[in-house]
Amino acid sequence: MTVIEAHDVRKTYRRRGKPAKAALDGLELVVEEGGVHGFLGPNGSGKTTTLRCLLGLARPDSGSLRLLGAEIPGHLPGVVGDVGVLLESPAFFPPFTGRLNLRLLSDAASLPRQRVDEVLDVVGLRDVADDRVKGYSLGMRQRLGIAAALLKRPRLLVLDEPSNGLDPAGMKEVRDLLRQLGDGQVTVFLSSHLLSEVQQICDDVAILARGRYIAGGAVADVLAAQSTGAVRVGVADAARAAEVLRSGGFTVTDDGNGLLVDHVADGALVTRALADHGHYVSWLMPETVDLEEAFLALTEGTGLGEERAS
Amino acid sequence: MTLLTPESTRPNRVLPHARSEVSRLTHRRLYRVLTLLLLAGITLVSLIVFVRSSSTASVPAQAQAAYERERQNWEHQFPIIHAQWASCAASVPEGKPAEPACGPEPDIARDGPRLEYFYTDPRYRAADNLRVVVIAVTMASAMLAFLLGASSGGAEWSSRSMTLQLLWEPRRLRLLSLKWLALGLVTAVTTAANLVVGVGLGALTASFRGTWDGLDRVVDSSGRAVGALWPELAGMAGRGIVLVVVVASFGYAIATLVRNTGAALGTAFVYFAVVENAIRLALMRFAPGPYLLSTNAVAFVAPGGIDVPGRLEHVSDGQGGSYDQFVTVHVGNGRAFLALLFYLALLAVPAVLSFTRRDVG
Repeated sequence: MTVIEAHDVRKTYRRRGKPAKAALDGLELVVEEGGVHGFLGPNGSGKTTTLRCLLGLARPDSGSLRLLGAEIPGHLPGVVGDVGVLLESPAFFPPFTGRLNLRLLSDAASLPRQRVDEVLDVVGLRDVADDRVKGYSLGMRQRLGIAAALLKRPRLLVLDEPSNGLDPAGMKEVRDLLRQLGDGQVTVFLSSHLLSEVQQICDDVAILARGRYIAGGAVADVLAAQSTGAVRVGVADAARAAEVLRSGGFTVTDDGNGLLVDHVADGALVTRALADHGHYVSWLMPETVDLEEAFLALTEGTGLGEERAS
Repeated sequence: MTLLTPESTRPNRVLPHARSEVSRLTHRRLYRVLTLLLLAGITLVSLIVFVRSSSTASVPAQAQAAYERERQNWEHQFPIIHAQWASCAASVPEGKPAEPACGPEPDIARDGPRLEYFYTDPRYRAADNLRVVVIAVTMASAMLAFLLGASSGGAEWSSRSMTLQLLWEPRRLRLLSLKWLALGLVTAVTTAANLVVGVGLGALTASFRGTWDGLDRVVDSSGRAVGALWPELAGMAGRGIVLVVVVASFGYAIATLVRNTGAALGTAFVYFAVVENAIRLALMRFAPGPYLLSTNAVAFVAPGGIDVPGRLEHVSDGQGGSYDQFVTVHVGNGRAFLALLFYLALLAVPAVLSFTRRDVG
């Protein structure tokens, strides 16, 4: 079952005195139930607008959206009880305590009150639950936002930058929690700039640029698609070994950190070619691409840059 | 961990959600501070009035003597005054009324000096003062209700907690209606409590330091009998509560439109301090008084409504000449209420449309 579907979604923001800006330009997106799904894109690529449209906060100009099978925005009220959301920086009423903010939400949805204490425990805010939110650090507010998202015991958890403001220990806790949720019966849809985080916990990713879906799939597949198939080889006599490989049809570069051999279908071909000529490999490492490199390669030229606000 | 197991949550039900909105409002420090301040103000003023009132109505000898002197003087002069009026009336062409040209016929009892002109009755008169209490408490409550309405709307936008709530209740009209309902309930109950305290303290003062005389005949500002005190007070209090709810709704509607507390308060200040006065001055010939918000607010609460100056008209003096005179317009409770609803609709409709249609940031 798909939990999120977007087909040909377009959304343009009209700005006074400036040309209109297309935030979503025919977006296509499908997220299957279960697991942790990453949602990536440079700032201004349309991630937040996608989430806003999915959650009924903004109306798309055209296209169709479905959340847990329900058409959005018309049937959103029927499924909103199954969707937990943390959207950008959490927006709580600062003069109220953390507990009161959560209690008002749970009371409005007729949830049992002990649920508030449960989620406060999960995010480690029980001890400061009766302090006013205006005294909370950014990290504490973020934890409270995660608590609010968990309050409904959602089937689908939509999180926008959940690690924002958290210390390394807090980030790890959140990662572990999300992975645990994703391994259970909750589908986690995670929008994040922390590509290492996404690579660590996501089963698959969808990458956006300029309001369009440009790549996606299982993380391993995305990385493989961006990989050049190069290997790096350590040998005693690098210069001669390079000649041997070149004569064998390999493309070789000697950059001082071993020999970089491009487009190698199987590392054994390299070791055999060298061994046949009396060069024995002391080490061989495939040149892996991490998600950051894959992301940068895929979004290169989208021209928006990481530093600009969404 | 139980949180790992999703549990389908039913869409928000109306009553629990409405209760939650009431709770959201009453937990606000502004609401609590304003309510306490108002109660403290009512108590303080009541205490001052209590201390300054006296249970005895004895007229000081000096005042009694001055009254007697003035009365004798009036009785002495009355025949002359009446003769002047009769002479004027005789000059009015036959068949035409004398009053427009000569004024009402002098009456020795009605127009003569009264004892209360020469001294102030130190007793707290329930028949007069309790009505003042109701009006004062209503007006103070209305001002604070506007502040609460504007603040509750504006603060939720500026803190972005409205965005969070929309993620729990995406039916915007329903969310807005529940918030509005909660604001109405809270302001109505709070005003009712303030009125009970104000009237209760006034009743205590009347019992110990005043009089309950004249309860059966209450007159309005123009001397018209409008009924007995308690039914009249109940009517005024009821209308006062409605007025407070309407005023709170004005605040909420403006804050929903501009999404900011300060801008909402500024709008109200500019309207009452500048716009209404500018309208009065600029459109004096067209007598805008009966159509202004403040006039209708007062007219709605005042027993029987109020008389306000209307258009300037040429009036014949009955002797071939004419003079300009403001025609008095009576603004009754019903008309005032309709006017208030009309003005509220002018703000509330765009506010609702804006809330339900605009993208939320």
